[in-house]
Amino acid sequence: MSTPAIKSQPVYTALEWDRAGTHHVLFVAADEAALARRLWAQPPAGPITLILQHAGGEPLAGWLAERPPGVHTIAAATLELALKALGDTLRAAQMGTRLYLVGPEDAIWQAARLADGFGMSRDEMRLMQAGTRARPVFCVHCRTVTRGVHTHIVPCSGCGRALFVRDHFSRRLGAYMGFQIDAEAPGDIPAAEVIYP
Amino acid sequence: MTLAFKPDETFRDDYTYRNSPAAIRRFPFPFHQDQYMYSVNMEPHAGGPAGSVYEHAFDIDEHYIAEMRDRAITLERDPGRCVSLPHMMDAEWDTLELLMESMARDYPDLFVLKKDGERWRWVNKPLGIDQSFTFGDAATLPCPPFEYITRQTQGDFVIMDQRNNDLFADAGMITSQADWSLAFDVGMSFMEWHGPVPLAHELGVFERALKYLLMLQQGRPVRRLNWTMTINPRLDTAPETYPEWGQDRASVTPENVGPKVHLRVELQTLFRLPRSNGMLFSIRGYLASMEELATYPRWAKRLNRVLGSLPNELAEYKGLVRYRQTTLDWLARHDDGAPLAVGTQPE
Repeated sequence: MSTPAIKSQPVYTALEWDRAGTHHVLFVAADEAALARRLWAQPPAGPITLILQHAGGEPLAGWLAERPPGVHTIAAATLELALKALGDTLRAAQMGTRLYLVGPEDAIWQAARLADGFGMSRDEMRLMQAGTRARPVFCVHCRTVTRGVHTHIVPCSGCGRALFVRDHFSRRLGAYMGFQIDAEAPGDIPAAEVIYP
Repeated sequence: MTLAFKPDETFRDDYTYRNSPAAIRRFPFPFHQDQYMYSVNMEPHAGGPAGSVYEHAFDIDEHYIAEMRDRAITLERDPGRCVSLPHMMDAEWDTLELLMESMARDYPDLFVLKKDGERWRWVNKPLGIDQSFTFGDAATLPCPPFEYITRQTQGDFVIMDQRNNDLFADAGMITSQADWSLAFDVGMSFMEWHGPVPLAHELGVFERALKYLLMLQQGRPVRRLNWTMTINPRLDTAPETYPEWGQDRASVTPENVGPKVHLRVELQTLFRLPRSNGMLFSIRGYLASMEELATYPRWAKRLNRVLGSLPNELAEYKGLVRYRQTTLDWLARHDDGAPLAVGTQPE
């Protein structure tokens, strides 16, 4: 793992169970079979809820295959449904609940923001980036978030300006900052390169 | 001190902002030696020489009325330049109290604050405001307390909330910033907020600054200077409006450096707030054109040397790259190369 150039950019470490927790909610939006195997090999004490977001078709197999018995599992075919299930779960959650978020940054930071709204502190959440590195990008000019950005320059889905994707990240917005790349020299737009596969 | 306000000067379109000779003389020139590098450089904000920008807690100068009008224009175009997260209401009232008490104490000819228990009356003569309200009851003011008072105080403001051994930028009135976005940064921790600043993290500057600020005590404010450069005397150099002002950076020519290129200095002051235990961060900006600064040869020489030796990362971050050389060529004509003693004084 490299140190980010800009300190606001999240650094993720390999996910571990927080054994101080009494109830564990695992929100997963990426197939990460090795991680699943490692976590399931030594489950923590207390009930576990697994919310699994899969893009239609088969649910993420690695997470289902080696589940210990008794894991309450909710499968959701879209991120929206998964977030709704997370909200329902957290609404009923008690003190001691720990939240684990695994998936692309767009998904895990939307989930973290939702958990903020339920009064969970960042000490009670653990995040790990997995799956696509595509970025959500907040246009500082029109405030639209363009999702699934793989390139360092991207047209804003709101105002159409060519945005440079900066490494500056807002946890509150769950997005990277984008600003017009050719504001000083209109039309001078370098070719977009895929940087976030 | 009697202030001759210049209510009609502008910071956009025709840019009629100028400094009087007295304003140039008190300009907080930030370079005490020929090289610049980031440092924590904080000192007690406990007054200063009469007439200097350090004399009072919050400096009011000849540009007051015009700056407040420019702020109102920016807020009209983008109300999101003033943001306060919901848990910041105590800190908002703390800020209103600190600003009103300071201004009424330091400029009794301009501002009057009368208190009868929680019933307060605020008179702002330059802006023609006479407001009676109940302290602590936001419904008795025309807008929330932080917005209300910072629409009447020069400089940008951030209120930081202190928790978990960190400072969070949880409220702000930001209409004259050096290219950072409150809408994007609001809610960030100290390190996240300063994330984009190059080199300073590696020097440990922010780590030391945070440690120092967490200990800041009420009644013992601190200050430091920061700087950048701005093309045209424009206050609203926000990322939000970068498409409007970005091209100005490409408009500098050998002929227009003198009036067009400005040194922009921030007098940054930090005050502990009593009830909320938050911290008010005031970023009071001063603009002076190259030709205004060059009325004091010492300053032109110093700036020539600082700008010429500035590390590229800093020039890039501060957005100087397109016009640094043109500006240096102009400044070089004012620099005879003679050694300059340490110090920021104009003469």
